[in-house]
Amino acid sequence: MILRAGLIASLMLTLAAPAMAECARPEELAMVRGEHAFTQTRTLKGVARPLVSSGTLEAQADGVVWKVTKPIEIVTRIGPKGVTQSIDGGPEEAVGAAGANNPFFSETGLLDLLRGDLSKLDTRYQVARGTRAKPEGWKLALTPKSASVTPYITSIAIEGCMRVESVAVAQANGDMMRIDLKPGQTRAAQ
Amino acid sequence: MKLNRGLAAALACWLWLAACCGVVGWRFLQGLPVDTDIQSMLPSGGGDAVERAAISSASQAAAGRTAVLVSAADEQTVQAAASDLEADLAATGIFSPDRQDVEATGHWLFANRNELLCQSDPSKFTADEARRTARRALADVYSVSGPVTGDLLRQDPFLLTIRLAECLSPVGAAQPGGTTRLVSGRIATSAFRLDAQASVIKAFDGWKAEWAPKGVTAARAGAVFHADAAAASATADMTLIGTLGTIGVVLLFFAAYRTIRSAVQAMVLVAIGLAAGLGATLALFETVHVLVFVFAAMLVGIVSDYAVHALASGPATNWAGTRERIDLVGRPITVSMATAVIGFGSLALFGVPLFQQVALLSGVGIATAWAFVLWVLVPIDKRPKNADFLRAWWTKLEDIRERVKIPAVVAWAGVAVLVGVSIYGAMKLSYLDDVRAFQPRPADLVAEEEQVRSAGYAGSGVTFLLSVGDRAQEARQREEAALAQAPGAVRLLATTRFDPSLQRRAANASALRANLYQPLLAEHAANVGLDPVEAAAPPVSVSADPPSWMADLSGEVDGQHYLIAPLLDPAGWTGPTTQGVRLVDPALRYSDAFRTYREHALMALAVAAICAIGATLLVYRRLAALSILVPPLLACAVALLAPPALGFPLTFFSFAAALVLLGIGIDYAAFQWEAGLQHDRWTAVAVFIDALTTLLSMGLLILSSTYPVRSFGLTVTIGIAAALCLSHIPRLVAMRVGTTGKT
Repeated sequence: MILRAGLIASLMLTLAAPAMAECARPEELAMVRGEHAFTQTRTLKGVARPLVSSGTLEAQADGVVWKVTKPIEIVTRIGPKGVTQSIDGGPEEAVGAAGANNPFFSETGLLDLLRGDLSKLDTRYQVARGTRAKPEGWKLALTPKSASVTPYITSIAIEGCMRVESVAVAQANGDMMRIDLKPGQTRAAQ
Repeated sequence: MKLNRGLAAALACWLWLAACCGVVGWRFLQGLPVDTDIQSMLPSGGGDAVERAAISSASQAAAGRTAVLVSAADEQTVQAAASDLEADLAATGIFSPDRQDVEATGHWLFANRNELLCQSDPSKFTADEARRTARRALADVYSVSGPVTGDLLRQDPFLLTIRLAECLSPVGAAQPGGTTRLVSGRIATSAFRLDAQASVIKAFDGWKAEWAPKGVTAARAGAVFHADAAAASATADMTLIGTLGTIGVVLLFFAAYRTIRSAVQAMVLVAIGLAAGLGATLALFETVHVLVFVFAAMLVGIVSDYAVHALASGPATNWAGTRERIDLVGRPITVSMATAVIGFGSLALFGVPLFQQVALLSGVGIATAWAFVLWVLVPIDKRPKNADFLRAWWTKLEDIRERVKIPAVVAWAGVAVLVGVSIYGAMKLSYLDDVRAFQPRPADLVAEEEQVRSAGYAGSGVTFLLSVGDRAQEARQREEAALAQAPGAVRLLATTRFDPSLQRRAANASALRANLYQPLLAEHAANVGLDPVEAAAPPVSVSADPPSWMADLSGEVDGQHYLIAPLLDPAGWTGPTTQGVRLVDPALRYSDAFRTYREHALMALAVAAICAIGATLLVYRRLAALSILVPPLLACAVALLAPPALGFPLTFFSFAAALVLLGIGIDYAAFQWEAGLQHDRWTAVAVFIDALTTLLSMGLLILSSTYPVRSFGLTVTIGIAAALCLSHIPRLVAMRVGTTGKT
């Protein structure tokens, strides 16, 4: 659950687009709405092969729709009232305890990010900034500040230039999750 | 020799008092031994022992549940405030957050995952359900929101642990999002102990003082908050009644005896009675109910009566010798003490801890005060320097009293009113046995509790499913059979959903093997990147201790095993038809118990009256002396019939008051009988002062905010007024007997 929280918080940066033509400062990314293609790679400790899924990520005014198309069809809706999930085109069902027992609302600032407010990022994470040589771009290394998150998430690495291109979450138990994003149809938020 | 006996008796009195004070001091040093649980009013013996134990366990578990819904303007503030509150409550040492239970429950579910099902009936875990389970597991692995780890996936490829945690969800509650947080947990000790309430309330108030200025608000849910409010109400009652009673009695004594010393002596006597009674009660009971202290206010009335008569014998006899004064007041005081102790003692026959405590505290308190009056107060009440002035004042009071002549027409009119009111009351007779109406819950707490529930907090149901069997396995099987009958909308917390019978475990395991593992494991293992051979190996056996909340929901009494399943949402279910299983509503049981007590109270009154007849005949050895019992018995009748006429339903406490009234009424009547025989004037004044002091103590219970206490006070007030008026009957009879004897 905490892993999901950290990951989602980081991925919110993917909803941002550069304000300038060259590599933008991450803090200056403005929120955009639209669809992005993603590839998620989970490397679980003790599991022989990486678990790869792909689909699209859609930013909406009041939340995010995370659609996995391979290897299984999953639609996950993340909004202010919680999280719902539909599997194989089935009915939407609340995730967990009514989808509300979900710390990523409380501990990652998801709703702030959804509103395009990135100013509070450093209130939740220690942020280390760096540059990427090839291709040219920037890197952010996030370390959770909250004691309730640190037992689960060690660090989050975000890379990008004009936009967020990848997010990698390192879990305390040794599992890893990496999400690579490709541009889709985007539009700037009004 | 006589002097030595008197000194020895006085010394024994002081030693007894010292021992009682020692017990009180020792017990209070160990922590405040006061509880506020209304269940203390319930019988501790008789009836169904299993049900009684189950009600006790279920109520304890339900009362311990505590939650606070924290709200703030922004998420960071609310998160910090909630964390701080949880830490503050945990620091009390008696609060354990639900998070700990969730963790322990998770370990238990993981260890037992292959013998548990979300379905209450294994036959409902069909091949379709199994396929859905496998797809959910696959979705958890590949979706962004799946809480999967490598360790869990290898040992639990279908993620049954997660599914079970979702569908059984035993403890804690939905965590509201946004700018609200729920801090919930359990209080390990009784929420009705004042010391437990004090530490939890102190932690909450301290937290509130820190966070309220930052815009943080809180809604509370839990018996500990209600109990604290009830205790505060009882304390306010006690303070009001005690203060008014004490001030009134002091002023009354000063007005009667014109010395501060007499008032001080009376108050010291009351304090001695209370200390001795409390010491004896604390020696036999682990805690004393707070209502006992409210009832103990009645000691002021009874004990000060003894002081009234003992002190009145001073000016009345011009401070004659100790022996002469004891001869004068000793017999009526002793009859009064004996009948009062019998009256209070009969309260103990109901088997209700609260009334056993009242009986013990009052009985010991009255007997101790009686002993101090005879062997300490009278001997030290020597002729004062201003004796002539005091005697003249007392004579003046006797003159005033003697001048008060009630015209026959007024007396008959009074009788007519009493009869009329009694007849009307008999026609309007109504009773209140519902314990829920005894102590209305504060509106603000009820509203806050609703707010917490709206946020998804399940709390703990008071009504529960009780499953009983000769063996633990039988009780489990019966609960499982009953759960199969429950409609889907019913929500309950049943132990067997987490720890089923051996039979059900085997059936669950078989359904999982047949529909999930055998047909779907190989394909699923491949889909989630596991080695099919490794995944097909038998799961490593893991042991886990049952979560502590589970232990609270089972027990054994007299070789009978029982399980409790609190109903979180009864959804109108009237209960199963399974043998050995039934729904139990404790509030209904309590109300039934009080109705039964009330129905038997008249019999207790009759028994007390018969005992009083025996005691009266034993002491006075003549039939005419039975006129002593006429005023108290008539006063009891009026006191029980007048409240319904005034619109106040009778409770068991009204009848308890009648028992006490019987003792006090005999007190007045016995003194009047003695006065009639000896043709004295001082007794009429003393009895009038008696009645006023009783009204200033027990009568003031009418001001209590708790209906049972109020109904007690109402019965006593009406009864004392009637007993005072009617106490002239034995005086007249005694005068006639005395005259006949002389002629």
